[in-house]
Amino acid sequence: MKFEQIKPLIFFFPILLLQIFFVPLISIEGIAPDLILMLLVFYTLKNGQFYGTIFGFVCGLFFDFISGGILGSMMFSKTLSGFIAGYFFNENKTDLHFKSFSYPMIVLLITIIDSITISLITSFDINTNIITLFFYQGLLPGLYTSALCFFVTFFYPKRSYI
Amino acid sequence: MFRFIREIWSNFKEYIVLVILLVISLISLTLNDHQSTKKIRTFAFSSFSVISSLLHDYIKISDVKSENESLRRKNSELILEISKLRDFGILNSQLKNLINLRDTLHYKLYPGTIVSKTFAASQSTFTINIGYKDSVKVGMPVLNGDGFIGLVNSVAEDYSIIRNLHNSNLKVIVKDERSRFQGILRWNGSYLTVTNLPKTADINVGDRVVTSELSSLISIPIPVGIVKEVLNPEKGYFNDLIIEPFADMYGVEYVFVLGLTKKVVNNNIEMNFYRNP
Repeated sequence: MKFEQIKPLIFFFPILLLQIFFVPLISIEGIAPDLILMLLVFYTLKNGQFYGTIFGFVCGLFFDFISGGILGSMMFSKTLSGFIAGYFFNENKTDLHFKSFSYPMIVLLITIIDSITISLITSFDINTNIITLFFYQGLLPGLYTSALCFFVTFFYPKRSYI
Repeated sequence: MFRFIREIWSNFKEYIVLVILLVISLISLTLNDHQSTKKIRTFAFSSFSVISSLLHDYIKISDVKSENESLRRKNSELILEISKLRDFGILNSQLKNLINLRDTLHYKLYPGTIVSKTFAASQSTFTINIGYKDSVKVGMPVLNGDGFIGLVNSVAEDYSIIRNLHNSNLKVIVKDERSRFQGILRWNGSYLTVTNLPKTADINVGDRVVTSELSSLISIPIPVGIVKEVLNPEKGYFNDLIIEPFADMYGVEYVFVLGLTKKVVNNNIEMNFYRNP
């Protein structure tokens, strides 16, 4: 296995700590960005769909074990997110994704799908309003997460180190 | 044959892996209550909580100054409150003596600090820095000065995970303090709600909601929140309520675990009812 493929896992644990400690400090009325998803989409756009699907599964597995949530919910949603993000992978456009608006836009789409998938798995019932679900649990966290992606776009190095 | 399989793998490997991983995830969803799964999770979160706790202590040092000031203010307010309550207590015991009632309720409170929070849309949990070494057990209610926070979900040696009110898997029987009407409280992803109450239920906006003694986990009334809104009072056969919790789930830092466990005798009687119809 190449070091390049293990590198995201090394970044995963500091990001997980940030997600647990830093994100609650910047959450607005419970709407919080998903840093793990940002990492997942980033490395999926770099390494492809196959890699993204497996990396999503691993991220979800660790998060489920550590967070105390329903085991399998994050695994399912992150696997799906990694797979869908993989459709945007293009070997020739990797750097272009991170230097343009396309990375935040992809993250927005993936976060919406991810949040709605988790909600459908964990808290969906017959009384759930689909529009509320889409807006509060999909769009708002998605917008917040993609807003943070502009930092990645802004600070993305000309020569790739990460 | 081998070539055929290899061809299928190279053409559809993404889809094959996706299906396998999704199936594993779905199987995991059904294994949540399995004993070995619980053991692995307890080990995982307790290992992670050690790091969480160190980081939490470091972050909190900066807040100590302002917190001390507000605690001093609160302390003086509480001293005034205590003197008032002492008066009421004396009066209460005198009145109880008059009607021959004895106060037999003594609850243990285990203080804990929240060392990490998980803000998933409907799976919010807290990790606190007390565990089975401090006599915390699964199912114990957790509260703070404002009201009910949640229930202990898993316990390790020094840490415990709490399912709080913003977790859709936490369902608690509650009652209207005024009219004594009971219902099941849960988080629907956006707000706390009590659903499917009959139209005849006597519930007003602003009523206080407390935990019900009917619950097999919480046998004493703990304040939960107030009725904020009655949904669709004109439509349908049932009413739904929106409840505003007393405790702030986003700002809470210190909690108490109430030393109550399942009412074993009561449960056995209930189970007997089902065993011998």
